[in-house]
Amino acid sequence: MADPKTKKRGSVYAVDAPRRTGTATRKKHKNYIPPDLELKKGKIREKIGKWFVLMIFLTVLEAAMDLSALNGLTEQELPGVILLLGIYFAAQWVYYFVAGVLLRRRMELEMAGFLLSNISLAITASVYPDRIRTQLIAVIGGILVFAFLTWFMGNVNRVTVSRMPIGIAAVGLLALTLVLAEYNNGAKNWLFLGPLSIQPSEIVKVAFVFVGAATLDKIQNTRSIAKYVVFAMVCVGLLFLMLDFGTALIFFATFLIIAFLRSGDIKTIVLICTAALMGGIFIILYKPYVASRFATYRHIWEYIDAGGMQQTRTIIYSLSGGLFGVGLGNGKLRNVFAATEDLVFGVVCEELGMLTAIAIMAAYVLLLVYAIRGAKYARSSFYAIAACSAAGMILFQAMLNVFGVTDILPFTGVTLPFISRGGSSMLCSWGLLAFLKSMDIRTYPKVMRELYQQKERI
Amino acid sequence: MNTISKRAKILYALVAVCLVGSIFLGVTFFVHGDEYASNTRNQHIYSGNVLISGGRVLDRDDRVLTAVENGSRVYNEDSVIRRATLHVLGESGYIAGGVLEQYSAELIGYNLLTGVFTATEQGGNDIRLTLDAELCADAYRAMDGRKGAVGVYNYKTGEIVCMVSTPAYDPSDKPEDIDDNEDYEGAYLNKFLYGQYVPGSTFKVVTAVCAVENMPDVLTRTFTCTGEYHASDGTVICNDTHGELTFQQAFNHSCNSVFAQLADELGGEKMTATAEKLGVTSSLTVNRSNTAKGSYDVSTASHADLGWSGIGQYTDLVNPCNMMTLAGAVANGGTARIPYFVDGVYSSDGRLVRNEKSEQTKNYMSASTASVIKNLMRTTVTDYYGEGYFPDMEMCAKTGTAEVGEEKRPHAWMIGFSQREDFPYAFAVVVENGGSGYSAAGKVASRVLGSLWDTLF
Amino acid sequence: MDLQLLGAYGGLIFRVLLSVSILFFLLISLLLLFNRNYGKNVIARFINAISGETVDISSWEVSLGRAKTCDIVLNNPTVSRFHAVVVRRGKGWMIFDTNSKSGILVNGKKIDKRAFIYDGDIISMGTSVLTFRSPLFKRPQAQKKSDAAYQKIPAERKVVTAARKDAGRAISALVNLADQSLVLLFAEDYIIGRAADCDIVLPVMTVSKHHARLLRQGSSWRLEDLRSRAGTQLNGTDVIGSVPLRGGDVINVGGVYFRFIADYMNE
Repeated sequence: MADPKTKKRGSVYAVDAPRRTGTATRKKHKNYIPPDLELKKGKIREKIGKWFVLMIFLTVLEAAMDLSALNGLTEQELPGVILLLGIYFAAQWVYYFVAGVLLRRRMELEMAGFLLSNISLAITASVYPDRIRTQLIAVIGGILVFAFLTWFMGNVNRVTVSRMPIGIAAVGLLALTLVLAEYNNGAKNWLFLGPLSIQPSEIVKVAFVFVGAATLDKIQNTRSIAKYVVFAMVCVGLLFLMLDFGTALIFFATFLIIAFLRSGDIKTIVLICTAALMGGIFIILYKPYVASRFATYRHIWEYIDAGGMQQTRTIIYSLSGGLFGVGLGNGKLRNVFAATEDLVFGVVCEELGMLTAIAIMAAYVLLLVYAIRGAKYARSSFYAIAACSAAGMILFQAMLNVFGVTDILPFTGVTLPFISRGGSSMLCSWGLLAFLKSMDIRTYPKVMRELYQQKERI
Repeated sequence: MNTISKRAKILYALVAVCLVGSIFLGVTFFVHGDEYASNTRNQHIYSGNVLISGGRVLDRDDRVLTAVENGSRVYNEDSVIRRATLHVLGESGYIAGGVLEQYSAELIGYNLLTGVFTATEQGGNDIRLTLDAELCADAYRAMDGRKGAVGVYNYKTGEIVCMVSTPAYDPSDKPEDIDDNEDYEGAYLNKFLYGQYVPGSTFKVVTAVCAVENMPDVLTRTFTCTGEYHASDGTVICNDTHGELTFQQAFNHSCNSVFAQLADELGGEKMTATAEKLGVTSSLTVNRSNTAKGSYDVSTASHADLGWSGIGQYTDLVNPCNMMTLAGAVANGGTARIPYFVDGVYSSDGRLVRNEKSEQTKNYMSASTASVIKNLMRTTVTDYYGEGYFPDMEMCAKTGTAEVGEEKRPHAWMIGFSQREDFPYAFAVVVENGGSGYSAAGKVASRVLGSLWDTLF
Repeated sequence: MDLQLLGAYGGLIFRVLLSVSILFFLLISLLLLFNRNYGKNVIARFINAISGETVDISSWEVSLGRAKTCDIVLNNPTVSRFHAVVVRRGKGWMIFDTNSKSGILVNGKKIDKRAFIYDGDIISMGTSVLTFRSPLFKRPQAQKKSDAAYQKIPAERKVVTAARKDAGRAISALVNLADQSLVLLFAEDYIIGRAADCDIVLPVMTVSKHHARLLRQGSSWRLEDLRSRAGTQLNGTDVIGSVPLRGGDVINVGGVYFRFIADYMNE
């Protein structure tokens, strides 16, 4: 006869001996309200005091950063830049009032995103004051995408229904890019629509996570993940054809994460990795163009003015900044090609200091740790998988960027999430952040209230 | 805990990889920080190849040889000092082995915490040299437009007080025709550290050491010089017909016949061994520079060739710094102090940051051999040249007149040292195509050491 | 100290403060995310109808099956490895049949892929029977209204009452706990087993061909085990030979559970 105290977590043993009914222990369940919520007028709501203080701190910090960014701008440029940066402050406070005060949502993720975006705006203002308008639009666009996706994913049914159409659209967009796109610095991953240039793969990244994550019934129903593998391999393949190896690698890594979270089948994952590795080696051996891209790896100082130029300058100037930087506007890395996109980590180290760069990396790591720990509280496997994959994707991309540009790994031209200048990259980063937001049920007060208003005993 | 949350824990592996990578990056930065930050591509501190931030280079008397003012590099006010110290300072991309290039990291004073702040805002660190800039200027003037090298160092402490290479140009006013003008040929080379010259009779010091160490009776032998030495397969011509000579006299008079004979008698193996032991074919590490190696190769030499090699011709080549150090070894009982010219790195407020003095020594020969050679060199001055060039200095020396081809005048050499305890200096002078060792090199040495004497007494 | 150097130091201090603040802010705002003071909240419960054991549910998706990776492991060979998933979705709770072999019965009715479940529903998977409890989600009024009288009667009695019309002279009955079906017993002996010639046929692999016998002795019943492979149990104890049967007893015939109703007419 099994004793309830010794039973394994969650197991029900049906071959146990029958017992007289009525002796099951009944747990008392009171109305439990956690400390950061309060009961007002019969409704459970978040306390808003602390967000206000943090918003003030954030605004002051951003203002200090922006002021130092104005260093070196001409008199003509100043008014425009100040105005646009001012608009960003307004946008943040509007968001705070709507989401933080009215909707009573928590603001941690948003505030981290705000600060990181501000760094990108400050750098843009300092290096390319004429492009600050596009960057601002990208940031605000990102925030809107974030808000929309957070709302959209509030309803699990909506999510389940839309996965298929989004998957088809994603593949379609990538295929279209392959056909229409023009080469831009070695990769065919850009679409030029009039004055705008977008990287469709950044948008597809968000869709990729969306399609990959699934609710538990779907995971348990479709025990084989074959359909998903095909979808993922098509995406990776199309990116390979576009010669954007960095992005292909990111998609592949995210696919591995999603596949493992869904199936728990480590053997298949190892098999796929081995196949991919062999394929990769095959390509490197037989396609010299690909191999040449990796020729300078670990030899950057020998090609200091040729293939290793960007990496050596990044290292030289990152070190020049020391822990605290030389100050916005005083850097020299900004004169190197792609400084604000691929090499932006170096610009941050040089002008804002290595301490700031460490802070940014810590932020990415904390996002992933949060996703891992928060997975057990998620409403559905969909959110847990989506958040973990999104955070994993962000950290993986950050690692490729930072380690690639400092010659720890081969250089692959991927951007640094939230910090690199570029509309598509910013939109994608905020989009991925939405998955993290939606994993937290505290984002959805209606759902939360149901959770805490059980007055009856079970 | 639900299924997904259990599986999600594998993502901690990604976090771990990130941490490992970051630590690796951090370590790379920590270990190579100075080296990378001091790279000439760093436009915070370099403009083109010129170091435009960082500290000053000072001589032993705190004269400023070069500094950074308002974002550009400036040199000493005296144009002769500028030329005389050109090679020790170096010019990135042109003159190798200079202090500006080799000590760029120290001059910049890079540290991981504040980056280049020390260099750009606090004036970096100063490098103090052991050289005496005025003495170097004197040496430059003494060379009087001729090409060559002058080096003087304290054989007891190792400090080089004079190191000059000519031709030199004014770094503040680099001549436009520097690449075409013959007068500037070799201006980019620090000949004292990196030059290789035919030694001529100064090589007889090496031959003498070989003889003293391998022929116990050489000091009591008598030789006969008939104006030439007949080896079994050739002739070595002497500078004069000396008649009967002792070993000492042969050395004093620099008799080619005797030394050619000795070289032939000693044989290629022993001569090569001695040449190697006395540093002819090896390199010295002078602070962060490695002197050029000389050359002594008699592997395919005939007997006559061997004879010529014994008197510093054939294919013999030596480096002036190595020769000066050899003189220093003889002066110092057989063990030479390795020379150095950088005293240390000092912060802008005078604190010693890093000591660059060298305590290294190298054993060249036994004390008894050294004393014999010292005597040979002393008697060369007392019994042959006279003390006219070096009054009161108790100088020991050996000259050389190295033949470099029929169309050209020979190189003039002089190496030597003072045996006075209170004036412990060794020197080497070579004047390219200067003619007679004694009159050309000797005069330069006389002037330089005379100036040095005057500063001390 | 000259003005330029002073300015330089001032700039350095500013940069120190700025970078430290950035680090500080990012760490604080993200570490706040981890501030989760509410523990695992029990939002529903499964009660094993046979043993009475309870399993608390605090997540919104629960997988059930025989596999060890399931959230609720059912160690019963009649249950598939990945049998069902119970999720809190939209307006209430749902159960999904994830390709199980034997299907899922909710209150005795087999479901087709998915169904809503409510407080008090009895869920059968193979021969496992679980009662679902979630006080906020009672069966909708619309369904209830039509059988108002039906409401007051406890679950097992509903089935008994429904069959009363055809009862005739049934003395006792057995209620199959898995599907709440009724086996009426008249004054005779019954052989229970898998073979077709048994009186009560249980087409379950774990039941022997001739597993057990119900004996009518006077006015009482006895249960006898016919040397079955899996054995017969009465209220948890193995039956050796024959034992008396009382009203309310739960018997286990090769994994199939029945409740014995001694006096069918009057219950």
